[in-house]
Amino acid sequence: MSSIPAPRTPHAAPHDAAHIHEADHHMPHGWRRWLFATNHKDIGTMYLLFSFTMFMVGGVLAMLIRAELFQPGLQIMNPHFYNQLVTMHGLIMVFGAIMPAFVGFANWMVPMMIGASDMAFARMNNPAWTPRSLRCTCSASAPSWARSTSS
Amino acid sequence: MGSINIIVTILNMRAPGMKLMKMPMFCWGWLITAYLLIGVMPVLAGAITMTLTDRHFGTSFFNPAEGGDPVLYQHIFWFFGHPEVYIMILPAFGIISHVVPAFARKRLFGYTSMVYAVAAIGILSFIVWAHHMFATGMPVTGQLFFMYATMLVAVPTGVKVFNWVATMWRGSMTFETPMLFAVGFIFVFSIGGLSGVILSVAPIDIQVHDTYYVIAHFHYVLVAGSLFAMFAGYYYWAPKWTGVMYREMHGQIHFWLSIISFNVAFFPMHFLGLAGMPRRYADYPMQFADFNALASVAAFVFGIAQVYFAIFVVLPALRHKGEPAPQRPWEGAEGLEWEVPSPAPFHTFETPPKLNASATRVVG
Repeated sequence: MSSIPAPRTPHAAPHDAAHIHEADHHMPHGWRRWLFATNHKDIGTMYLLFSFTMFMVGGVLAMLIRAELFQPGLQIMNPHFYNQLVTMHGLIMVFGAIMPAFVGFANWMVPMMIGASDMAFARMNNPAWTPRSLRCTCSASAPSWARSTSS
Repeated sequence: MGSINIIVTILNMRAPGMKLMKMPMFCWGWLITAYLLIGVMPVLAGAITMTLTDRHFGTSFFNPAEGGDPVLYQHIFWFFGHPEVYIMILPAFGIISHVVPAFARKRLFGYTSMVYAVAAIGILSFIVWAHHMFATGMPVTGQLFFMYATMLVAVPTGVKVFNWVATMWRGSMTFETPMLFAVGFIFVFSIGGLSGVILSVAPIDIQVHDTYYVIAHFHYVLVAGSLFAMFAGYYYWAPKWTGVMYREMHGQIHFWLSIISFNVAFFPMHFLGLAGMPRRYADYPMQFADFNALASVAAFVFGIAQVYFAIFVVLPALRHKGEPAPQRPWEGAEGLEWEVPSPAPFHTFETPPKLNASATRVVG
């Protein structure tokens, strides 16, 4: 039924094979599993959850834009803030939502689709992920920063 | 860094028998995407660093008052920006090339031409950037070059759309949520692609430059393109990720709410743009009021549809609530990801699997 290939090492006894696939000692638990993640599936999951969160944030900005444009005239915000909203909506959707989501798909699916055990640089996969999430979170706070510098 | 990782993974980590020309289309899409990323991300880094030093350290790369050139910024930005939009669509093409054959229960029509089409789009993406800048006053020769180069992009893209349709032709199709989103993608993305060809014509572009026509165009290719493809991919692969199926009714509601409200929100923007409503203003004349009110209402419905997706599809999946997913939930799905149990174990293919001739099944 399950067609995970059994290890083809000649001297691997059956219960050893089972043990490898249970992989208790391979799988860290708690926060270490996520912060020090090197598993392509875990990193893919983090990318997908992060991008969905940013998709919701960018969506709230889109709703604010459409709320202002519901009627002609200025209703709920000043034009400068409106312009920042448009910029941030675009940036968040492109760099926070769409791109990380596709990277999440790639992390999850590419190794499984080509029959690989993980990404080629499994450890480098983590520092490729963590700074990006921090960077996007910082840039999401940029509108307030931009207002303070461009008065 | 991530792109290098993906390229090396795809080129070096394939199981024996997984030849490049047997590789799943999603991997092909990402391989080309990763090369594009490596090509253009340093350019973006240069552009934003120059902007930063202009703003804070007294340089004047882009400030005409001190001998700089703002058009230089546009060139650098769009040399990044145009490949970027293909970065956001090529993996989507890959996902659609998996979902359509699975639910048409046929092999992908014209696999080889699909691969070459992706590669051609990747190459063309580097020579079309100035079609974003027709209004900056460039020589006619330049306008003609970028106009024709841009129209060329429609050729490989058309190949892909026709191949998807040919894959569905006489297939035994069923319309579960992934397929709905995939067919929805083909329909709505084609509209976005056609408005793209219209925009590529320099005189028309100068007319509608920076109007809502452009907003409509790129939301048709990004929301209905990338986002709908990702929804198709989510519904298709989430059973493998989480081990539980979504409720089909929830997926159908999400799809119909999304596609109807999306079109109601963005299609009128074509008319607004042609009538001359400029983008990036918080205010507009009375004559545009009706379409804007309509677009706003539909946009709110679209937003609610995504909240519905979060609450009724994503949340149960995260909590592993739902019917257990079989190893191969879709009858026509092919590929190695369906050769491992659902949910996929923490480690898969620790030793290279032996593959059958088409590299879609594990044997022995």
